[in-house]
Amino acid sequence: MDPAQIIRIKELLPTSLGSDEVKEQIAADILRRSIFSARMEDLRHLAVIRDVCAGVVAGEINQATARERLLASLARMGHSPLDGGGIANPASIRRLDLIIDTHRQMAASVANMAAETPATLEEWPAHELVRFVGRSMPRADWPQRWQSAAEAVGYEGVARHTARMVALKSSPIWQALGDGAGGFRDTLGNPYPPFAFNSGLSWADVSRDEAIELGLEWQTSASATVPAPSLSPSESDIADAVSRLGFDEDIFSDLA
Amino acid sequence: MRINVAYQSNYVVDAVMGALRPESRAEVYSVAGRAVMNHVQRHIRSYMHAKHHTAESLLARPTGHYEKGAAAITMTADSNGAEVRIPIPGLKRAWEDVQIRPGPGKDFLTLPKAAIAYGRKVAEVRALGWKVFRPAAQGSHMTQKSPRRYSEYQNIYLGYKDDEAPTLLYTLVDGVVQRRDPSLMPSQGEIAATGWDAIWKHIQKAVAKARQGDLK
Repeated sequence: MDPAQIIRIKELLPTSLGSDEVKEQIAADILRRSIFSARMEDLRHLAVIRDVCAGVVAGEINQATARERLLASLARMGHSPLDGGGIANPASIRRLDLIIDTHRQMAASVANMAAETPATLEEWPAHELVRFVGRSMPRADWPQRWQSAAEAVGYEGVARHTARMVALKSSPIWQALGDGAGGFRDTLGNPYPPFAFNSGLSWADVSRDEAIELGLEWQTSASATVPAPSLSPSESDIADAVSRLGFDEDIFSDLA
Repeated sequence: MRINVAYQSNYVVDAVMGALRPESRAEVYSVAGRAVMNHVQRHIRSYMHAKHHTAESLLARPTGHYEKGAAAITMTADSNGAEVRIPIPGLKRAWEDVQIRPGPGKDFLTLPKAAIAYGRKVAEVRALGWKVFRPAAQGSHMTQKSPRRYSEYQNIYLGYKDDEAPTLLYTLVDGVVQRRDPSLMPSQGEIAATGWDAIWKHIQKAVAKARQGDLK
């Protein structure tokens, strides 16, 4: 499923709750499947949010066009960026960017998780959390967040002897990070980026060789979704096909 | 921008791919797609923080156009192939000149000339409290005060806020050609080679594993 589809199938969730209350009172699973915005009860506007975010993540419109459409929708409701109130103002530019950025990154993360196969997990078994988007005042506490999350899960699947934030894709650290292990309250409750509001950090794949160099250990299928044999079903299919086709295996031997 | 991940034709790979069950073929394509996705992402990450010339020249805050897009690159694969999606509008100019025309119902493109205008549409600047106007349309106090010829001000948007003097916000053009900039993306040949390499190695690995008698 592509990221635009992931956004388009989300339900609209009007709410009178503020962001902290939303997080406390509505299950994370429902939030993941919903388009909502703190204290936004207007369904038509939520539909506009869904539409523009899908357009942005599909690369069909840029962020300026997305904000323009959101501002037009909000103007219809009487909201203006000039109303003040900081990010609590539904028409503040910062809030509009936050909504677009969050939905774009969430949809991309979910799409890439859904696109994983046993073969991709074997080739790239780990993620590194790295900064993509620069901030004028970046959070300085990511190492502490990482450390707290790693401790919370007993370093399961976490690269220990490096300053880099690398862990197996199957590691529970990702959920711990999203849950704000260590007492961080600005997180989104998801095991994928963005892990915190307005975070510029996201995932980069880490190859098998690099994961081994970083001291990560896993069984062939431990990080994959398929159990048991060391040849995955598709690898087994490939080996059968080569045999059936009568190819000399030496054709493939330069890797063996 | 979407990239269909293709590979150079090769008798052996074609035959093996053709003999696979659809789900196995999809998995092989997933490896190729992921390899291309990671390659493209690494490439964009290598320059993304250095592409802020316009923002810097206007003393504006960068929009994060490339950074946000790079973080949101995705891939899907099925039994017919893989597709990598890069949500960065305009990236196509990595491979060819791109002509941009005004959208439906618009007469001009706006090119930002002030920090407040950078990365913003006119409607947003207006929503931020700026009075934005075209001298040609309204006749302006700017033209009255300036010794420059009136025609020089026809294709611009001026703007002011509160009691400040009007300032140039945008120039208006009926189209622009963005010249090809190959540094923005790996070449199509490089992308095809990355996909091909991933497929070939995946097949090699499966054969090697089977030969080692792992399938027990």
